[in-house]
Amino acid sequence: MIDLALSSDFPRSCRAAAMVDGLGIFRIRHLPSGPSLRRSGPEALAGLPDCLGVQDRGGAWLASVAPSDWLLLGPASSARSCLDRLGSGLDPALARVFDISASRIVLELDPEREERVLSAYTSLPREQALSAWRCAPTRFGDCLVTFIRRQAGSGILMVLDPSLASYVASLLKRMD
Amino acid sequence: MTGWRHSSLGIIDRSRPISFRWEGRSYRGFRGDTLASALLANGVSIVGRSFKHHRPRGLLAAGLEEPSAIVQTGAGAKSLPNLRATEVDLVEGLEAHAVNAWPSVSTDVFASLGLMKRFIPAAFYYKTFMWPGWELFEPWIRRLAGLGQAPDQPDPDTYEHAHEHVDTLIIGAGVAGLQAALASIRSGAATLLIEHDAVAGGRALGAEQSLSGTPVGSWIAEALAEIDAAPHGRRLMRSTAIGLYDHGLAAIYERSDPAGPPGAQGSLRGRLWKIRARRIIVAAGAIERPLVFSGNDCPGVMLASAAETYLHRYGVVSGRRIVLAANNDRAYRAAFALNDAGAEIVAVLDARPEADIGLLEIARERFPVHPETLPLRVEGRDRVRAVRPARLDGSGAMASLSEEIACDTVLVSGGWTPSVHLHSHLGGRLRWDDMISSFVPVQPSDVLSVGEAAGEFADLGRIRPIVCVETPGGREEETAFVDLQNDVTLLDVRLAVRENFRSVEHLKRYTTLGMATDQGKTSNINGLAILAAELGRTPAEVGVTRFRPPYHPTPIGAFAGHRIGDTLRPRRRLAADAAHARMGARMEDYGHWSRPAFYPQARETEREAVHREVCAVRTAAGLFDASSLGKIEVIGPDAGLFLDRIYPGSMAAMKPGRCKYAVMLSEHGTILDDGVVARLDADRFLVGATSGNAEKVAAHLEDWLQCEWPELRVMTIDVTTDWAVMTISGPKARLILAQLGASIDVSREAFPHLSVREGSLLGVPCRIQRVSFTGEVSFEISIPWAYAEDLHSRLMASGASLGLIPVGIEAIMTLRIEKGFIHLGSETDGVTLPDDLGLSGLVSRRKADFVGKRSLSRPEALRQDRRQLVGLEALDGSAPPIGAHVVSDRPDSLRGGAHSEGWVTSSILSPTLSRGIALGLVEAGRSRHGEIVILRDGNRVLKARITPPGAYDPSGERMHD
Repeated sequence: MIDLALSSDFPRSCRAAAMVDGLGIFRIRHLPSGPSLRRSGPEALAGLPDCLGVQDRGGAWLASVAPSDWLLLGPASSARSCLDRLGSGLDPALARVFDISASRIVLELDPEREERVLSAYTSLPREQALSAWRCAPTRFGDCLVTFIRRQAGSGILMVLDPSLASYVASLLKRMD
Repeated sequence: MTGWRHSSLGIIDRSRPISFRWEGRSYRGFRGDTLASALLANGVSIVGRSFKHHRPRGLLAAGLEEPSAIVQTGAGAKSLPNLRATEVDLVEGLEAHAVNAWPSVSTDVFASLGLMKRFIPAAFYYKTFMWPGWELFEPWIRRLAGLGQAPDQPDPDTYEHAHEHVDTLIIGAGVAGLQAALASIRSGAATLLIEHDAVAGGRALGAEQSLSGTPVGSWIAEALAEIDAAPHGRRLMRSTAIGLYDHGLAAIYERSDPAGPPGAQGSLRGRLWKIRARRIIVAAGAIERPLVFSGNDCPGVMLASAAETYLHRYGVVSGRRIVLAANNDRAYRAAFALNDAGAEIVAVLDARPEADIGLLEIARERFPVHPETLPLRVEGRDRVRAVRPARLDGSGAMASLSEEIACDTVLVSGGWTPSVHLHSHLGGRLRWDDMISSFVPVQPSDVLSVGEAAGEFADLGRIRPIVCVETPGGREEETAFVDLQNDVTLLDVRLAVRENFRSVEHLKRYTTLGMATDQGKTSNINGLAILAAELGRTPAEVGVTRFRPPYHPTPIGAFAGHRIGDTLRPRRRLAADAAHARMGARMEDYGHWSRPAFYPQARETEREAVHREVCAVRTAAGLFDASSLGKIEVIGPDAGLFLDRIYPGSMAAMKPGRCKYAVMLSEHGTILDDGVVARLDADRFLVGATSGNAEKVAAHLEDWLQCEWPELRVMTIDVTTDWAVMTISGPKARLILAQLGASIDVSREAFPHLSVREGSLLGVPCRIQRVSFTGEVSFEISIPWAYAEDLHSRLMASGASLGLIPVGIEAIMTLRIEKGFIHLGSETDGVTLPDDLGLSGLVSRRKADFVGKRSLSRPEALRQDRRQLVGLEALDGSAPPIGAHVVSDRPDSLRGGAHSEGWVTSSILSPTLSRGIALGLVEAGRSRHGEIVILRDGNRVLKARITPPGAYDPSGERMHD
């Protein structure tokens, strides 16, 4: 597999952010209607995060990025284990899992620079939207990214489309 | 004016002297000075030349309301035009000069224009300099009048944006603003206090006053300490609220400290803040108004409060022999303070009768006070020499003239104008307050105005609203200035009324009163008061012009922020971008994607490279990175039904493993996008979209799904950048692909044209679609994004011996034009219907409904003379210019001239056919094959034959092979 950093012109790290490697990233989509969700099995869906919430699932992080739309990411083995547990309860006719590990770049923002970076490029009310265990798909500069905050004090993860890596890198470098 | 520096007053740092240059001469000031205060301290009288007449001008004010001291600083790329000297912080090595003066501000040769002022009143350009044409005179008029010079090099400095959410935003850190901030912080609200100046305190700075028994300087320091210590309190200095918008949004421009650490080539010059606040409090204070009289623009005429500021803050005394002219009590503070500092107050001219002058007795103990008296005119040109007072009668008209009073400075105060601009940005209403003769905010409103911004004044006393004094039949109106920055006189205002411009909005635009960079901060109220008097109405009836953002001039760079250079807008890169660069591709911007246009070799021109690539595709194979093409998966038991409603063609009937070319329509029946739709399995489709429309198509699908058909069991997922796509096209394509070892049978029999297969390649999932945009056998290979370079290099290695080369977009466009395939945006515009392009076969006649169906049956859609897709071959073999019109002998009924029957939409010199090939849209084109028509492009005329589109392999035999 090609190193996305090399192929996407993103520096391995800059002062504001460092790339996170070796993650498994999965997108879980489910048909939105209520009956379908219930048919998928209570065990699978019980306790899923509320919209824009994030959960620690055995070392992987499950984020509800939109209604019936989840992002699961974490160290490859943790993410795969969590996915197996979730997937066993999902009705395949109504839910789909997309392995996007090779199609996303994940950055971790430097906590000391986070405030300035987020203030410059997003209009989020940061205290509410990016408190512990919250996520936010939002605009960064002029492109769409997803922010995921895990426990308080941890660096925010930024999940982005690899075709935009160069643009995001340029934005971050302006903050150096 | 002969300003001078007091030995001890002021809050400048006298331990840090600063050298600077003004108009080529060296001067000295101190840290904490502005350019204006330093010039005043050095006895400089003339700091500018007026916009139109080039009259010498001195300092009128001490802050952002200054209309005359417009300067330019720096040089080259760092040059900054049109700054106010009152806002330029003095820094070591500052170089500044006045704008609009040559060769210098002291001896401006264009001052001779003043002799012509009777011929160039307001709006003269609507009546004169018209023959033989305005264009003859315009360049000269523009050179003679104006402001500074814009730099002609890119700005090396940077600007940032910043966003914040707070409970309370307080605008203005004078006493009222500080009090509001303390109250907000003590209530526990997240509070942001902003202040235009570098220091807080407003007019109380340096003044000897007390607040709640505490010297005001100490009170300010304690307030600031409390604000800074509060965890939820914050303040921004050097920050101006330039606009207020709906839903609590405020735009604030923060200027960097010019004395801060120097940057390298570029430094951060400013930051544009967008603040969302639950509550906004405007404590922006008020601005003093001047009086209008003949010669009121002479250097040495200054606002009384400005003189106070120069004294208390900068330790500069404005003159030595000072006359004060006023209509309110507050102005006397300036006289007392300057007198205490050592200036002689030779007279106070007060418009009011004795009974209304609150400080009369105290004042008369120190200097002469003349009630019911105002200046008739000021004598002097380059500086004030004397003032000629006039006694007033009960109506405010001149009763008699008094003896001339020799002086070097005239301080004026015609009242105070609350800063209501920000309140008005949100549509807040104003009412006229007779007590202060000004407009004040009507409250409650979306913002809360406090202090003087709300019209609350404690010390004005009784005001007499006199605007101007004149002799009967005199000509004072010619040199009595209402708007100093735009040289608008009392005469101009009266002229506008005589010419029936009776609305305050018309007055503004006809005379340009209030339209200069100071936005009429010292002139608007005087102007409308004069208008009211001329019309026999009240100022309340006349009203005020609308205030719009920005409140204060703001660098354009601030609005751009990061949107400049590489980050002007997101430019997306292909998955194999690095590989393309290594292979020498010429990259171009196509719809926000950076894509290879062509791959030049050695000294090839673009045409040679494109021709080589086209020939390779026709004879061997070409490799094209198609990763940017939109891909949207549509999944669910009702996916087929959903797509049947979206598309005009039938999708649900497609078998798994098949694909078809389709057009997507808008509700108007016009073509929104085109692409290939593939059925992956029973309830999974892959919708293809053009690169530039991927997001739009994804949004279009979701729009209909969520708003119109939420009951359908369907989900849509944009997977455009989940998959990289490498297209291999040409007679050798199948051979090359077969060598790669995919788990898919790519033989002719197993993989016919317009089919899709899923499998694995290089150990990862892949999809391959056999579709063609070139007219040759083509395979679009989709693989997870990160594997794109791997795949690219494997294909190149596999195909090199068979003649495979990389090809760019220009070659692809050439190939598709040869084939007669359409390109969205070339052969389509906002009105193109499927039948116009010969695609009525894609529109089902049997389906009950689909998006756009109804519109296709409108009379306009059924007209026989609609423009239709055709081929065009120039008789001389050349490539007709794109955009050339097909003209007929029939005249155009609407516009006259020749009638256009259509135009050339795409055109190339075909390397395959060795002649020019074009596509076009021509009225009733399909029934005119073989006809010779005239093409016209500007002065170029050529003849062409209308043909069916698609000169190369019309039967499609090659791509179906």
